[in-house]
Amino acid sequence: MNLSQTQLACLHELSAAWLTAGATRFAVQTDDDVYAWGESAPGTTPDLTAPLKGGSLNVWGVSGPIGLARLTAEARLITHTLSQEDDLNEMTSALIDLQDQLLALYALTESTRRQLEPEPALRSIARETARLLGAHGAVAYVQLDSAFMAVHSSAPAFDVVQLQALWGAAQAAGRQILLSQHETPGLLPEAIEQALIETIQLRGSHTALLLAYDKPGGFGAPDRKLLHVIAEHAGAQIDNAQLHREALTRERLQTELDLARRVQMQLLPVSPPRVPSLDVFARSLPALDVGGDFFNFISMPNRPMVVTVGDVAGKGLASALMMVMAHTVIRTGAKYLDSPAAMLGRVAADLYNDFSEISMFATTFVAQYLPQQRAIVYANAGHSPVVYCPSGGPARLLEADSMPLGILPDCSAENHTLRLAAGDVLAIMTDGFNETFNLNEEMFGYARLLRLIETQADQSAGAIGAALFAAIDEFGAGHPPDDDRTLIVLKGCAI
Amino acid sequence: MDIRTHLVDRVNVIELTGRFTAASAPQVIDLLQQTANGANAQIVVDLGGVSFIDSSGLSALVLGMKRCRERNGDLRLCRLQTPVRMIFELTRLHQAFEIHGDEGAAVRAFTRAQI
Repeated sequence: MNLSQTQLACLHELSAAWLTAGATRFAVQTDDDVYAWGESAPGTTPDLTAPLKGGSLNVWGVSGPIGLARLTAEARLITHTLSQEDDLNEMTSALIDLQDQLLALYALTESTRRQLEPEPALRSIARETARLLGAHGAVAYVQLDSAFMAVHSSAPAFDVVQLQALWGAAQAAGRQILLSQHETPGLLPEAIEQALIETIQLRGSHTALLLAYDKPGGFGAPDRKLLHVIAEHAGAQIDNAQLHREALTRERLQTELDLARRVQMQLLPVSPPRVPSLDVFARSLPALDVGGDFFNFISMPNRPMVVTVGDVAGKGLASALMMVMAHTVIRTGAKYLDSPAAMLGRVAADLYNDFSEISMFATTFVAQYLPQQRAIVYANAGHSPVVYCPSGGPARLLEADSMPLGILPDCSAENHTLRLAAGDVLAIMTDGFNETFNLNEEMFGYARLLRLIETQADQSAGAIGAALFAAIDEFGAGHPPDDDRTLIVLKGCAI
Repeated sequence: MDIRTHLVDRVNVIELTGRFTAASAPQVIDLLQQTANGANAQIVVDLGGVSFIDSSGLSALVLGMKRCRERNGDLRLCRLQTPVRMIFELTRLHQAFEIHGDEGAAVRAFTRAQI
């Protein structure tokens, strides 16, 4: 124990009191030294002695019980004061450690807070860990969504297999571990003497660890505390980076979906064609997701007007893309193919491979209007619902005679002819209509659809269309539409 | 939607219960693909508990059927409720699948074919 100047000054006053009281010599014996006042008396035994923390108080030239009691009381007092001073020193040292950690964390936060991608964040963490702990190097290792990221502060010293094994060891220990080449050979690479390893806790069950290796003089208690604090900070940092990445992905996907929806909407006709003897209503309302509904009117000189309505199964970009392709093939086919069945056959042949590749299919209804005959020729590949209500009723569902396109390489749909004279109504919809659910989880269904069309059949095509959309909206009130809703109403009218 | 699987005479039986829509289709697609890529690409999908199927559900079944047939197996259906059967008939998809009244008949159709 080395005494401080303040302590020596107090002891000097104490020695003066004893010397005044007749003592010849006063000495403080510590483990490593002797502090003495008065005459020098090497080798002689003190007349009074009292134990002191880490040594003793000794007096020469005074003896007797009163002197001993006084010296003992003083020794106790000094011991008490020294203990208090030790406690204070310890607290001061702890405070300094804490201050160091706070400064280190501040430095780490400053260097990582602009890193919004996991890898640069890990790089900052590894670099700062090595610097703050005074280690030869540090490694941050994370396995995120089956991607392994091992980031070294300097030259790579560990491979992924070793890091995975170290993570397993730290995870099994349930706490920070300190490994040395000497005690646990085989776990560390040969060139590494010692490694301090801490697992990083992340959102979800991910594998992550932070390790520092090889510090001159070894890793002490402050290093262990500091690594623990850095690992906690690193966990929050990696979680933030991951959340940021997820948000970016969502945003990117949403932008793509918005773009796809705009492309889709631009493909749909802006307004229905004007055809003498035919009253036409057409509207398509997309649901929140990009759906696969499509419809078109194709009018060309000296050719019958063609109407198509289709629905590519599923949602998302793949459906939207297939819808665009089907739309294009039908439009091209309408230029030179004679009948709806031939057009469907062409789409089936052209798109079978593409549909098969992504295991999709499209229900498609194609019709030609023949004004001279006041008739519709149609072919239907799995499309539903299509409702025909001849003047005076009753309304009925027109069933498909072929599977949807994309399931088989050809299409067996045949041409069918319907009268579409004044008062006859043909309503071609997509399943977003009959499959609308209300809050009681009841489906609108076909029966309501048929009844509604029958009761509205004497109205104009626009009024029938508006009534159908209104009825569906009312029925599904409070239930956001799950699917696109497309409706075309063709009604024969007097010339 | 509730999904249960069991094996009968090396045929994978998948029982679905609830509404088979875009919300549940990805889960079913994963299961059908895993099963189709497994040791025996023979699947019976029991639709007895399915009250409603939309085009995403149909698409999932078509996908499963195609994967199984690519591996010389098949996906067969059984116990279609009336509304579901109606959707299959209206879209003519009942022509694409082999459909049976109950699970036993669907499984037997596989085992008969193996004899």
